[in-house]
Amino acid sequence: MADDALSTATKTGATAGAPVGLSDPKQWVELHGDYLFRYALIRVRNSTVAEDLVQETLLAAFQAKDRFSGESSERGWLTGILRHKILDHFRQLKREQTLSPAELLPPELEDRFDEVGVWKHEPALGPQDWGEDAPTLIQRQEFMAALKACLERLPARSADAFVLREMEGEESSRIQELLGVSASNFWVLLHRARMQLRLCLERNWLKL
Amino acid sequence: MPLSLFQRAKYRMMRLMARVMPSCQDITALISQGMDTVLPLRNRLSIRLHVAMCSLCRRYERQLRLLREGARHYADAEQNQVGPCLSPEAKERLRAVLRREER
Repeated sequence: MADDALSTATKTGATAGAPVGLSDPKQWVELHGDYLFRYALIRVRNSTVAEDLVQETLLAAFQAKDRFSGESSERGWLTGILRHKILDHFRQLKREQTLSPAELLPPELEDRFDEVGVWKHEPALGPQDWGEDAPTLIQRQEFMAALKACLERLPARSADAFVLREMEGEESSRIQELLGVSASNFWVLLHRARMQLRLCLERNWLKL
Repeated sequence: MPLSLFQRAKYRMMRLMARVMPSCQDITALISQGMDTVLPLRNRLSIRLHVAMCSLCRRYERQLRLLREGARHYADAEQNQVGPCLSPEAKERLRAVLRREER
């Protein structure tokens, strides 16, 4: 596992910088600590866990420093190791196969459709117009703050599925295996995550 | 705002269609699934046909794509900007761990 993780880590590493070997490991905390911490934090959404993952990453990197190939920057290399630690973390979280009713579509989302499944028109409960600026607005800090807050309101497994799929860009089959959920439950988790995030952003970010 | 005659007629038409074809509720689930896997041709055609007629589901689909783009951007940008940092104590702990390892 470790070998595999480290060799892929070098491949997936970031782009920046000419490879010039590693800096003194004593400086890693200063140079990359906050970056790695934030990387982990937005994905696992728990600062204690994020901190532990950074520690595991630095340790693993220290033990493997002789195998650093210089194909990526030092930071890219460390980030690649951290990514594997994050996936391992999700794998260890594996929960029950069945979804609790709370993880399915809650009434608040189901009720936006009428009895034949069409978006309700009176009052209008379908998606609002986000405006022409939406594609630029999603690049701003306000969007990120809102997305973070909205993710926190999701049930954990829905949020995990969303993070792995939309932030990490993992393959669906890989995520199903990582989270230990069936394919059909996986589609429900993501559908729910997207529907709720969409609505939450509409209300709290665009204030529509 | 009261619905216009046109909106009312369109709503009635969507309700009629929902009885014989996948409804908005079905289509939103399919749109989501279609972002994570290659759906069978039959499903892809249902989605295309539906969004050609239904402006709300068209909007829904567009917004899910924006959400994806925004999430990627967040995952990318957040780490490079100021944000939550390791506490000084945590940094000290990490340094101690590395020092121990070096011996």
